[in-house]
Amino acid sequence: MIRSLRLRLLVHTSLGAAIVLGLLGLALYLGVRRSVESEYNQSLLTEARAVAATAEQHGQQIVFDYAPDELPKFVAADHPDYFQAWIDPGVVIRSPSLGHGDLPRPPTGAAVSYHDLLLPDGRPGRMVTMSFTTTIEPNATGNSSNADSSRTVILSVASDTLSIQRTLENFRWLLAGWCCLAVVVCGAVLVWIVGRAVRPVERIASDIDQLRENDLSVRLSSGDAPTELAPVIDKLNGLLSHLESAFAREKAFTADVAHELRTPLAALLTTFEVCRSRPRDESAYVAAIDKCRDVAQRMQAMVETLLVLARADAGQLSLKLQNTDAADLLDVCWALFAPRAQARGLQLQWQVPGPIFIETDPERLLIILQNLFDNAVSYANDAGTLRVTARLDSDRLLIEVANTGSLIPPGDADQLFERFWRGDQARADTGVHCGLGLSLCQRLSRLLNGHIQVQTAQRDWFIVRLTLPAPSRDPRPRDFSIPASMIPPASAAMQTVPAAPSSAP
Amino acid sequence: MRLLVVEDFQPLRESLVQGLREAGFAVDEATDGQTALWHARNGEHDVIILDIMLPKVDGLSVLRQLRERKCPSMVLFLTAKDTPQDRIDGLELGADDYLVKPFVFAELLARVRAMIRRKYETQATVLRIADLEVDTTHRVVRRAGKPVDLSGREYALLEYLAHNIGRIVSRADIWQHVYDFNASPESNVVDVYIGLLRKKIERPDSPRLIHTRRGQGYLLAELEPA
Repeated sequence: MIRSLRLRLLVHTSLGAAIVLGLLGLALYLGVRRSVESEYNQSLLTEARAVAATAEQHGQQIVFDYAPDELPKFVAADHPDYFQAWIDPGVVIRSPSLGHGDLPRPPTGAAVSYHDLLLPDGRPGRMVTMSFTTTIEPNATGNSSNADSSRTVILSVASDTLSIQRTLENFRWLLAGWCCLAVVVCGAVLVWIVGRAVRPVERIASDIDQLRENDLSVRLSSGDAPTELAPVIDKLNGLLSHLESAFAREKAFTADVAHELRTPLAALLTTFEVCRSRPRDESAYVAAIDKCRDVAQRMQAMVETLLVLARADAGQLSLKLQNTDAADLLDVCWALFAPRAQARGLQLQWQVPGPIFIETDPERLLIILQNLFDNAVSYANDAGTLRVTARLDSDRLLIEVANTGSLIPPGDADQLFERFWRGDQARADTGVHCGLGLSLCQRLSRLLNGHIQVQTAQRDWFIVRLTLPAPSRDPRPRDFSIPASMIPPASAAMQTVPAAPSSAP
Repeated sequence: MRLLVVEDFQPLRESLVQGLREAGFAVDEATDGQTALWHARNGEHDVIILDIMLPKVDGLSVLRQLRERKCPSMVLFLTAKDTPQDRIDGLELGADDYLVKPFVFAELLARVRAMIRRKYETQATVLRIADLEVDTTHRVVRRAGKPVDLSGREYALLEYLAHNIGRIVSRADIWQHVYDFNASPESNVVDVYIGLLRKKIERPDSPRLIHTRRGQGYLLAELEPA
C-alpha cells in the first residue's frame, strides 16, 4: 500500500500508460506482421503460379518447362527455393534444388493453402500449396487423343522466411524501444502533472500543519484548490470553527472558575492573616474559624456544582428512577429555605395539590428544586412574593417557581442558562450565586427527560417552569429522605440578605 | 488616614475592614458601586480599595465617575480579574494601583501606605520633625529617641498631621481623614484628641510642636520661639 498520494497517482497513471502503450505496440506489431506475411504469401503464390505456368502436358506426361534463368531460385545452390508437384497417380516432380528431398505433402482440399515448415536445408520457410489443371498443348498434329485429358496437379512452392523474420524482429525491437521511451517520457510528464495536481493538497497540508491549538482562528483558504477538495476544506473549516468555539468556551469557563474561586480564597487568606496579626481572645479566633468554614463551604458547594456539570457534560451522570411524590419533595426542599424566606419577609403562595407521583430521580430533582428555591429567595425583592405551583397536565408534570422583583430584561432569558451568567454584572453574594445554578438545573432537567424554561414576559415576575414526564405507572407511595450530604449547612440556610450599605459617617 | 473598602463578598470585606482598622486606618465600607460613590462623594478618603465586579455600578464605572468629579482619593483595584489587559484597563482609567486576588494582606497594607506617601508627596516612611519621629511602617512614635505610647486614634491623628508638616489642617480635614466613627463633626472630638496627643508627645523641656491656629485649625511644625 503506497501512502503517498503523489506516488500512488504516479505509479497508477504510469502503469496505465505502460499498459496502453504496450497494447498499442502489440496491436501495431500484429498488424504489421499480418500485412508483411500477407505480402509474402502473395509473392509466394505469384511464384507458384509462375511455376505452374511452365507446366506442360505432353500426352500423359507433364513437364515443367523452363529455362534455368527463367526461375533461377529453383536452381540456385545457395538459399534456393523449392517446389514439388504431385500428379496422380504417384508421379512426383521436384525442383532441381530439391534433389531427392521431399516437401511435406499437405492434405488436399482448399485451392490454396500456406504452411510453415523447415526447409530441407534446415532454414525456416513457408510453403504454398495450390492445385491446378494442366492445359493440353495441341500436338503438332493438331489432334488430341482421349488419353490426353487434363490432369490435376498439386503444386507446393516453398521459400525461406529469413528476410521477413529479420524485418519483423527489427521492427519488434524498434517498437519495444519506442514504447519504453514513450513510457519514460510519459512518466516524466506525469511526474510534472501529478506534482501540479497535488500541489493544492500539499498547500492545505502545510496550512493544517501550521494550525496550533492555541490559535484556532486560522481558516484554510480554498484559493486554488480543486473543486473536489472544496468540501474537504469546508468541512475542516467547520470543524475548526467548532473547535475554536469549544476551546473559547472551555477557556472562558476555566477563567470563570478561577475568578469565582479567587474572591473566596482571598477572603480565607485575609481572614487568616488578619486573625494572626496580633494575639486575640478566644471568641475572636472562634469567629474567624467559623467565618472561614462558611467561606470554605461556599467554595465546596461551587466546586461540587462544577463537578456535577462536568459529569453531566461527559455523560457520566447516572439516573436512579423511582416512584416519587413530587409534592412531598417540594415540601421537604422548601423546609430548607423557609427560614431565609421568613427572614426576608417574603410572602409564599403555595399551590401544590398533594401527592403527585411521578417516575423520576428524586436526588437530581431535589438539586433542581434547591437551586430554583435558592434563586427565588435570594432575588425576590424585599417583602416580595414567592409562588410555587405544581400541576399534572395529561402526561406532564409542570412545576413553577416564581418570584417578584425580577430585574432581568426579557431579552436575557436565554443567557440565564449560560454558566457564570448573572443578571447584574456582579451581584451580591459572590461565591453563593456564581451563575451556575440555572445551568445545572437545565442539565439535570434534560437528564430527567424534561426541560426548563424561564419566563420574564410578565412584568415584575420571574418565573421558572420545569416540565417533567408524568404520570407514574405505579402510584405506590414511597418515602424519600434527603441524603445528609445534600442538606446545606445550617449557617447557609439561615443566612440573611447582606446588610445594606454600612453606616454612613 | 481614611480608607474606603468596596467589596461585595461579605467575608472578605469584613476581614479587610478589620485588618485595616487594626493597622490604624479609619475605614468606611461599601458593598456595591452606588454606595461607594455616595461614600466617596466628598473625596475625604485617602485611598479607595475598589473591587471591579460589583453590583449596581461596576468598579471601572465607579473609578470613571470619581475621576470625572476630580475626586482626589487614590484608588487601588483589588480584583480577581488578572489578565494583563484587565490591569492595563484599570490603570489607564486612572487607578493608582492594581492588586489581584488572592493577595497577601501585608502587601495590601504596604501598597496602601505607599499610596498615602505618594498622595502626601512624602517619600520617607519615617516622618521627622525636630526630635519627633513617626515611623509609618511600624506605627511607632519616638520623642528624643524614647518611644511614645499612643492609642490608635492618637497615632492616626499624629500621622495625618505629620504627613502635612508645615501646613495648617482644619478640624474638618482631620475629621474627614482620621475618623470613621459616628459622631457629629461639630463635636469637640478633634480638640479632645489633640489635647491627649499633646500630653503624650510634648515635654516641658522640649519645644512645642502642635500649634493651634485659632479659627483655622492645627499645625505640626517646629517654630522659632516667638
